[in-house]
Order: sequence, then C-alpha cells, then structure tokens
Amino acid sequence: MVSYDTPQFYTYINQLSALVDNKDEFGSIIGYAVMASLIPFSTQSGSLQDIHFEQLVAVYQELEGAVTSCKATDSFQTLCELNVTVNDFFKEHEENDSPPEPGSPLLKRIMSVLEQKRGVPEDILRRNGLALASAVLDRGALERKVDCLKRDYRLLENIFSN
Amino acid sequence: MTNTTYHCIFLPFVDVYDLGGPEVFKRLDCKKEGKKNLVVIPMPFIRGLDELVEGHHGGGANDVLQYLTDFKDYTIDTELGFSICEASEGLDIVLLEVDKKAFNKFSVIDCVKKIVNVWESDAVDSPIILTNKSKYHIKFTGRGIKVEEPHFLQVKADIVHEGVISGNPTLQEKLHSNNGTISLTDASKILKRDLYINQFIKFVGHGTYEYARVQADLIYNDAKTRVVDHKNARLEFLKRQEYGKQVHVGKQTKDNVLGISPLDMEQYLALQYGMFDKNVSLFFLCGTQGSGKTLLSYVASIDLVLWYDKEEAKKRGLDKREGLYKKIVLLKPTEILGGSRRDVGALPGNLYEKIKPHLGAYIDAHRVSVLNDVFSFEDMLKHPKFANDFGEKRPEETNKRKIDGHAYLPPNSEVIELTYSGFMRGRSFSDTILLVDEVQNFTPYEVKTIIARLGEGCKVVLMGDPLQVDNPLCSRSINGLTHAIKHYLDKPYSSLVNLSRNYRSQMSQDTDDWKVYSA
Repeated sequence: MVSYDTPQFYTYINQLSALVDNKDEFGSIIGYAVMASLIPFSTQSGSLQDIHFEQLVAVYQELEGAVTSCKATDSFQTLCELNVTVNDFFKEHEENDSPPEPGSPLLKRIMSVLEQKRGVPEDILRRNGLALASAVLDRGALERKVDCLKRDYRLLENIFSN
Repeated sequence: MTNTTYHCIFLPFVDVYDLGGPEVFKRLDCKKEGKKNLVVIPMPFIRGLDELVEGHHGGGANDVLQYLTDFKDYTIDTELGFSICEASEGLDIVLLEVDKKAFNKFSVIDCVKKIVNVWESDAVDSPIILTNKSKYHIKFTGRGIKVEEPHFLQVKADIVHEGVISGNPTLQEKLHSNNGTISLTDASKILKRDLYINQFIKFVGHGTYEYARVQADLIYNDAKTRVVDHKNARLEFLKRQEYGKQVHVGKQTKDNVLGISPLDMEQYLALQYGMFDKNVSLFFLCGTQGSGKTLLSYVASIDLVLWYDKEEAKKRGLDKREGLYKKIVLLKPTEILGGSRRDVGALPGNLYEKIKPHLGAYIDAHRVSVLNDVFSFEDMLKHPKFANDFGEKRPEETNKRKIDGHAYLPPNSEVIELTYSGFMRGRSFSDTILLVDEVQNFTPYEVKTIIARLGEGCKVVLMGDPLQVDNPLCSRSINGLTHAIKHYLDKPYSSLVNLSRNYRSQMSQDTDDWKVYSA
C-alpha cells in the first residue's frame, strides 16, 4: 500500500486534478505555482543538493496552498491570485534593465529558458504545468522520501528549465 | 575500406521508413559544406519494407521503395557486397548485401561491424541506429551501439494547445485601449511568436476569461474554390454577447444545435468557429476523453447536412433548401478496421454490422440529441432511393418527418456514409463532411491519404487526443493527429480547438491516473 504521507508532487497534483475541471486552468495553476514559489526563495545552504530540495519543498508548499485555495474559493480565483504574483514579477523583470538576480538558482534557469523560447511566459508555463502533471500522474505515487525528492526535483528541472 | 570519410553514418530501422517515408533521406542529408552523411539499408530491411507494403501499413514503406527504385546509377561493389548511390550532395545511400545463407538470421550487430570496417566517419559513435521502438533502444544501447529516436519525425503532443494559447497582460491592455482589435503584426510582436489565422488567445480577465481571435479577410480564386491570399490580418476580442455561448448560423442565433448546447467557451469556439465557419475546411477538434468531441461534431455535422423549408433556409443564409454539405462520411480507426491488422472480414455480417460495435460514440451522440425523437441512428445510414450496405431503402414515411418542424433528411442521399481506412485509397469526395475520429491512432501517412481524397466543397474534422494512442505503430509524438496539425496549422482554412474539460463523471476523470497493475 502506497503511503501518501510523504510530501510529493503526486499528492498535490492529484488533489488539484480533482478540484480543477478545466485542464488548461489546471496547467496554468501548476505552472504559476512553481514560479510563485521560487520568486521569494532564498537560502543559506551551501550544499547543492540541499538547495535543490529546499526549492522543491517551496514548490510543494505553494501547490499545497493552491489546493487549499481551490477548496476555499474556486480554481479561477486561485489562478487569478497566482497570476498577480507571477505577472508582477515578469513586469518588474521586463521594466528593470538589470533586474535583481533571483535567490533561486532554478528560477534563474527558468527565466533564461523563458527568455529564449518563442511565445509568452504565461503560455509556456501553462504547457509546462500540464507536462509536469501528465508526467507525475503517469508515474504514480512514490514510496520513499528520498526517491520523492530526487525524482520530483529532476522532473521539475527537466520540464521547466530545458 | 572506401575512400570517402562520412560526416555521420545512419542505420534507420524499418519503422522509421514506414513512418517517415522518403522524408527520412531529406532529413539525414548533411547540411555542412563539403560534408556528406551515409544511410545504410541492409537488404533484409528492404524485405521488411516489402512486407509492410503487402500488409497495407503506414504507407511510408511503399514510398521509400519507390524512392530507392527511382535511382538508376547505383555503383556496385561485388567484393564488399554493397551498392551505393548519391542521393544528394550531402547524402549517399548504400544497399548492403547479406550472405544468402545468413539472410534469415540477419544480425544488426554483424551489420554494424561491417559498416565500421568498410566506411570511415567523423563521428566516433557512428553508425547511429534510428528507431522509434523502445525494445531496440534497450537491446542495442546495452551492446554499446548508439541508438536515437527519429527526432526529425517527432511532433510534441502539446501542439494541440496551439489552437487556444494564453495571452499576457500587455496584449490584453493594448487590445482594450484599441477598441478590441490590433493588427496581427503588433500582436505577434507583443507575444514574441507567430500567430495563425483562426487561432485564439485566452486572457485572465476580471472574474472570467477573455478571448480574442486571429482573423483576416480571405481572398479566393475566381472559382471560389481556393484561398489564394488574405488581407487585413488582425487580432480581435470576441464580442461581449458571444460569452452567452449562443451559436450563430446565418442570421439565426441558437441556444443549441439539435438539442445540444455548448457547456463552456471552448465548446462554443469549436461549434461557432470550427464546425459552423464556412471558411474553415479543416478543423482539428482535440480533447481529453469525455470532453464532447464526438457529440459536438456529430450534431453540428447533421445540422449542416439536413434540408430546410424555404423560410428556415433563408434564415440560415442558404441559397437553396439543401444543407451546406451533401452528406457526412464517418471514418474511425480501430484495431480491426483498415489494413491487414485491422481487417473487417473477421467480423460477421454486412459492413454496418461489422462497423456498428465501433460506432457506439456516435450512436450515443444521436440518442442525446433531438434527432432521436424523430429518427433512429440507422435512418441516418439508409439511402432514400435504394437499398445499400446498411439496409433497406429509407421509408417514405421517414422522409416526411421533420425535426423542429422545419428540417428534414436529404431526399437524394443518405445522411451518413460509413467507411473505414482500408477503403479510402481511390475514393474522392465532394461537398462532404468527413468526420475522422481517434486520428492519433492513424499514422501520418494514413492521414495524408485521407486528406488527399477530399475534393471541392469538403470539410474535414479530425478529432483525437495524442495522449490516448492505442496503435502500436504510433506514439504520442509520431501520429497522424500531431503531424497533420503541424502541417496545416498555419493554413488560413484550418482551425484547432482543444477541449480541456472532461464532462463525464468524477469516476471517469479519475481514470486519468489509474495504474493498472498486474498484482
């Protein structure tokens, strides 16, 4: 029997999929939640692996917040809230000639990828969110905590920063 | 050892040729100045291609054999056992002989060894095996041979999201400050990407979504059969009243189409700007299971084929009483339809009885529409003047019945003609709506054959979901749906809508993450 107590993408994405009917909205919420969690991120850790896992935990927390918000209000409201955070960040990034470097190394890479890719970040994040959800739901729940952290981080990195 | 040093040597497997056809050679052509690639085709692969042709598989195999036959100037090396020809400045093709005794025990490993012994290459890991099949990746990677997927044939499954893309606040503000419309050039600049005619942009608005559509004035040839150009390309917000999801047909505004109302904006866009748009002759309707693809396409198609009384025809903007299209042709791939792998002969009965088990989705769609109050699904298949494969002549009494008091069945032809992919070659259609379901289970070659059958005045609706591939010849990234979208997306007569909401039960939606374990 798989225990869902271990924090992992599967837990949050599975809960979100039951709360958000519209797949596009579902993808946007996940994509925006990843961004919104990494925007305020900062760390004192020295180890690269620790930094990876801290970023991942921040994403878990944001997704958990999105689940709570969807339950309390609705999915569109949740998306609007995330939308404000993310769009403010993009706006600041665009308007500022030398924007402050993000505290999250992953966010730095995501921003660099978003700048290189064709299209608006909003659309790319929606698709990345859908890709992450599809990969996580296809893979199913993971049992070991270390597996969750390592494999979830690898997945997050592959989809959002490649 | 021969004199030429190749840039890279490729050994594509038969599955790659069958999926890609001669395009494989074009893509493997070396683009670097003064460099050349080599494609090696062992003779047992030629036999494999021939077997595929006889089995009526994807179609690429046949074209590859034809392509190779067209070369007349092969240089034969009897000592080393190969024939070589120059396909282009950047590519040589070699047909590699295999000892007759070893023909039935052909070994890829021996073939690779021979290639390494005979030809030199700049790339240290040449030859590279190209195949889409995982089993060969596992088998040959484990033996130290480089194996790659044919990336040049792959189209990402997320291309289905190109129909309705997300916009950004800058574009949204610009549209609002410009009376809801801006030029396509300006919109493309803001979104930092190309936009296509009939593409939709979705914005997060105040309390709801806002939609804009790329549109243009199409310019037709004199015969009005082809779109030759377009002008005044622009992005325009949908009108406020459109959010009420009422469908406009001619001068009419309808809450529903034969009893079916669009439940969300994507369904509305699919009906209004896909099914009912005269300028869209190729419509891609994608979506997850239970999103309404079959239901919407079925009722809209019937609505477009029915005949109307004089008054109703006038309201719909029709010159005559007859519908915009003469009939509907239904085409659906299943594991037993089309080609030797999908042989209908294995089932008992006439063509209808053979295909009926696979028409459940259409029969269900018929039953939930108002059509079911007046006609049975079988009535849609019967010809009014003579008996056909699907039963007796349509009774006179049925011909007189009317839907909503003003629509009746076409008096000169059946409403729906059933066919399967095995019957498609050699056919041609005119003034027909072709509904093709589960297109992700057709190979790109099969879809190409289907679209090539269409004559003037036709509309084709390709439906599917690249995440639900059941055909072993296809994958999420190589299938007829994604390839056709890639090829046709920028054509002004095509449109794409992805329905993103599952309207079946929670139980149905929960199958998305159901892992069917053996224990």
